Amino acid sequence: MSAIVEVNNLVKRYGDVMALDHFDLTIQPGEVFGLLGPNGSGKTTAINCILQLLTYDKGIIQLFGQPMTPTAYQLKRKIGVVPQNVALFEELTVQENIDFFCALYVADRKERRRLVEEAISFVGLEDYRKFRPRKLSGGLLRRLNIACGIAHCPSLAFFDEPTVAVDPQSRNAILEGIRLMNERGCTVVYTSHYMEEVEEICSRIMIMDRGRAVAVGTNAELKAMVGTGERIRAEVALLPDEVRRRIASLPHVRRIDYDGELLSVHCEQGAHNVGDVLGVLADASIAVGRLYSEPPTLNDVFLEITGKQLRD
Amino acid sequence: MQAFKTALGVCLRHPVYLIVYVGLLSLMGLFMGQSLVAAPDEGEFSAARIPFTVVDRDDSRLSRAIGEFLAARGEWVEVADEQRALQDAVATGQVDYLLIVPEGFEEDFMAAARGSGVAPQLESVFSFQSSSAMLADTQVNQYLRLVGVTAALDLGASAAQAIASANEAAQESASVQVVNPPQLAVGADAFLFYLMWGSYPLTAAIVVSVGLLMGAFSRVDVRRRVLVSPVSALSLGMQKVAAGFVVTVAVWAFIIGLGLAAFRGSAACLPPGALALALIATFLYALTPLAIAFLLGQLGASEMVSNAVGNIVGMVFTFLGGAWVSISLLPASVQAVASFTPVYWLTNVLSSCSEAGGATDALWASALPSLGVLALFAVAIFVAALVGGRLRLQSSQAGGNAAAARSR
Repeated sequence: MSAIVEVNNLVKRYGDVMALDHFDLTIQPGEVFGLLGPNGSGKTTAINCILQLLTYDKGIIQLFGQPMTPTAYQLKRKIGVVPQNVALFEELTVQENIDFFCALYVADRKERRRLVEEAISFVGLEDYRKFRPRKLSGGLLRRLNIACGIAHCPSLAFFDEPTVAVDPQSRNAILEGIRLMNERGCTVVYTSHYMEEVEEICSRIMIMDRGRAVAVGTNAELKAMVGTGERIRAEVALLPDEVRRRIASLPHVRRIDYDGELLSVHCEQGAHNVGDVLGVLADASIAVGRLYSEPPTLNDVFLEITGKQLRD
Repeated sequence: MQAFKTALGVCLRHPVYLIVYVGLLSLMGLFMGQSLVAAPDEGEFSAARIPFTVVDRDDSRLSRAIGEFLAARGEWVEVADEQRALQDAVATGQVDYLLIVPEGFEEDFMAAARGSGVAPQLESVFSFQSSSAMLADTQVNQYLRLVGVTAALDLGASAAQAIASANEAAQESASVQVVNPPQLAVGADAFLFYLMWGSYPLTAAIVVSVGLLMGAFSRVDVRRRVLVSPVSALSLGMQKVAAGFVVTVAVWAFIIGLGLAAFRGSAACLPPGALALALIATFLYALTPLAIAFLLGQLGASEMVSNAVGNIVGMVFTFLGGAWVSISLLPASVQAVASFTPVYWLTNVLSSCSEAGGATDALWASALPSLGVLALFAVAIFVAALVGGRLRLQSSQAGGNAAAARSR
């Protein structure tokens, strides 16, 4: 199957700053592809270059197997974009806004009416169709923003941080909607700096930093790339140095931290890491409050690859 | 066509601007123009009668004759011969003309008329609000000259005889008849004034309304969203300009239609060729605010900026162009600047229409350069808008490359 998005060797400079540094990207049809990275890592620049909103210095961009250019209208017809900022006409109602943006893609009025109705119910704005944007809450505005971008049923949709400043209820509705779109056959490119969201909905993830792809793979593949297997946390009131040394010398233990209340033990993949740690604490007659084990997060992956936190 | 319809929809969603700038300002022009409409021709003349008083300190035959002379031409108001009362009478408009006849006036006057002594002076005060008072004073002096001439010619005549003779001579008056002006175009002044005044509502209404619809599409995120759609930038731009043009035509048609309806008699005084020229010039002028609105849209101006520009530019253009105050009354330096405003050229054309006789070919030939300049203003601003829009496309404000660079 040929890639729906293929970017090779993309270079974008702003003066001396390299925004995209020989950036490569391949997205297959049917994927929910996550672009994850801290602010300024080049996610939005990459999308803007792909959509031809920005010029670039070097590289090849192909969508649906064809070169993407500013005048590739046949390709643009199959694309939906949900920008980071809410982009609407203040003067038009919810229904009129969706109809206008849908009409840029679909000329037939009857067909459009059906699509607009579908989009309204898809984002749950049935009760607000006659409202103007200024009457909507932040979450509802975001939903309208999404409806305007996907009403024409695109084959490829770009979501640029669609959940920024959104309440949890609307956020869940948005993520559920994206999943549903994907089930209906739409390939989704999703950018965010919220790793939990990306982990939740993306089938494949690219982690970006300084304009480069630092890691690509499924959630599990990314976590397998790094040494951290799990993180064991235990609430202990007192931890003598001798006990700390014994824990640190256990097999698979890579690092331990203790802040006076909470003990964190970073382990490699191991069959019984929790049992080993508990055994040492029990031998030393140290009372343990709560104890839990966490699998590695994308932040751990990012931290290990780049040496800094994802949310820096 | 969707962008075209949406653009018109955006404009119609701001009805207050249309009501204020098109409706109310046009009505204001209408009321002002009405003041220029001539009163019905009655074919008779009646002189103005002013309130006056005569303070007679001489109590002579001549002083009483002066009072009677004035009473035949105005309304006598009794005012006490006290300084405060006399001042108040003039200051409060109780009388427009106050005449004080000093004691011994008749005796001194007759002696002076017959060559012995200096002629005594009457003391007169006029209201600054009435030029009729000045005319009454002139008439009193003329009357006294008649008395003086009679006394000088007939040295044996008494004061009473001289007054009687002067009264007889003063009976003579020129017959006055109201005659229609020979040039019909003079009657078109009201309509032409309305058109000149109309340059302000035209400017404000078009700049604000079209600026709003252009601006709605120029909001950074909306523009970017539209740019990623399969609609070409050219098609979108054409639809926006077409919508702006329709709004311009509608505003122009309303203002002109209102003027034609209200001043149909005045407009009918113009030869058809001159009327057509006036309307075409006004329409050509309307393209300048359209171009300004397009420029504002290209620069991403907000609603507030559109309002400010529409009003300020409208007032400056209209004032400097001579639509409110005749340009000849302005200082030479201002007159020099005025030629850089399109209303100046519009006023030129409209003024030449008011002077048009039957030969409209010559009128058109003389107006063509002004029409050309009017069109040039619109074209020049439109080109500037295209260049400005192109530059802004990459600016940080518009979210172009510079914005992305700044966000890093």
